[in-house]
Amino acid sequence: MTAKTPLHDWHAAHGGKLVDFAGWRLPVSYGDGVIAEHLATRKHGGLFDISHMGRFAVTGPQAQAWLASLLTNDPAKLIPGKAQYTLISNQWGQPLDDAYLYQQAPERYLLVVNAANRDQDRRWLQERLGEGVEFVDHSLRLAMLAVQGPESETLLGELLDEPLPPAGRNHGAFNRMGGVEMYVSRTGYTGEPLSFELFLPWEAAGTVWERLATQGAPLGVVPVGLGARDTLRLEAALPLYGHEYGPDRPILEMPTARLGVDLKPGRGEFLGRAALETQAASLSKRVRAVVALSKGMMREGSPVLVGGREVGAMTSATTVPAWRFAGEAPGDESYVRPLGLALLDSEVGEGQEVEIVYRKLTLPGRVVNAFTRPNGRYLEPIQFDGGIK
Amino acid sequence: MSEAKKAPGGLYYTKEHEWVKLEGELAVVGLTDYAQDQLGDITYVELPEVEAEVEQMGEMCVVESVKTAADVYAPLGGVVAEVNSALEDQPELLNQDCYGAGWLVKLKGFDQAELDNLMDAAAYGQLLAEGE
Repeated sequence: MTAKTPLHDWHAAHGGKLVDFAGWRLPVSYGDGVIAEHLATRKHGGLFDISHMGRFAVTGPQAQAWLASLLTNDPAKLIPGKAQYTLISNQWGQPLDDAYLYQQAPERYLLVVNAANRDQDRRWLQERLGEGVEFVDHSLRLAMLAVQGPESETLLGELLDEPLPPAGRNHGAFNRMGGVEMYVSRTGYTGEPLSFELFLPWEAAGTVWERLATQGAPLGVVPVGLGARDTLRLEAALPLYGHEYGPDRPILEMPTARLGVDLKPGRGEFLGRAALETQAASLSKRVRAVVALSKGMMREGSPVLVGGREVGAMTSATTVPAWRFAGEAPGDESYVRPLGLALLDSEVGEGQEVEIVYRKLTLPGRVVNAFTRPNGRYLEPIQFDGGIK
Repeated sequence: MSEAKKAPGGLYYTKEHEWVKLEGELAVVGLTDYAQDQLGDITYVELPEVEAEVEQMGEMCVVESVKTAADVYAPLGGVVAEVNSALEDQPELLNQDCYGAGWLVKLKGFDQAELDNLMDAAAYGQLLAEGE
């Protein structure tokens, strides 16, 4: 059966093109389409209903030690009001999932996992539950909304009763909006320098969303569906489970996994540590960012060649819009460029010219470090030599 | 949306959601409103070469959207007389005006008898209704 988020009826009533995704009925886009929603997020801001994600509460005196034994990052680095990227690894260093861990209070954590992996993750964690830890799946009681982009801080500053969490990524705090208690965190999946995620009671999500949408509209902040959520994460070169991560692939093939894996000596033992140390020393393939240098198409699965020799394949790829900047801010003109992430032989490094094969055509491309860079409150697209202007 | 917008009269349609309009010796070809709506934001159109020969229901060009890429089939066999090069810079014309400025290709030298293999607006409208 397909589940519905608390905003399902709002999406349907506001032009959302609803599809089934990971067991949930969610909008791909609204009336103006994926490109408009992507561009609006980068220039003004976007609202995302991400209540389909899995949310587990982990509490108790042994919560930190237990999380430390099963997650790749070190929860001991957190303090109440901080969050970290992390992975759930098996003993072979393969990902069960990637996740975000929020410490909300002493002995109180929230672990956010991918919707498609929620049941499997819950089973895995509950089977390994120890003394002094309470584990509750709050996915259907706690809604989750994201407010991403340059105007997100202004919008939430106007609506929240308490001051925003301190500036800087991963900071969070309890807050209230019109009497609705919520946890607000400076996190997100768009790469935006200013970004927030809100955790709030399921039954209050409609009211809060309505206020965000109404007050956000004059600022140019729009509701955004799954389509632009994917192009935004791809432009930010962020991984997606099932694409860059897979159950039979080494975790550290994805470069950003290093942000979520702590192998320092003082970190202690955790499931998968030995395998991850081996991966850190040597890997035959790595995920790289690849941008096309002419118009054309590329998709997941497209072979990537160097001098006619296949060196890997795209793991995610599509055409992504971008603003042409006028000085320090997005201007009025936009363009599109094909870009994506690819699993390539390790020796293929940044700057390497490649060819991407799609159907009968071959597209010239280049391995790059990133597609964007933070520029004040904006995320600015990087223009590449020979790239699409 | 009105039926006329979904499938205007006076055109011929394929079950693959292409349309054809006869203009004297030429057959103008495009994608239907249903097709552009299903594809979502169209970001790239790979047009055929002028003078290329196509067969009825053979591959003619490729349209890519943020969501997917789709083959476009030639509703009639013939020779490509003209392509809509405006789509190279403005592929979104296909979303905005699929029966007008977003046309794809004009064919010449086609066989009138092949029109019998296509649907009229009423039959195409029926096909869409059955699919809904």
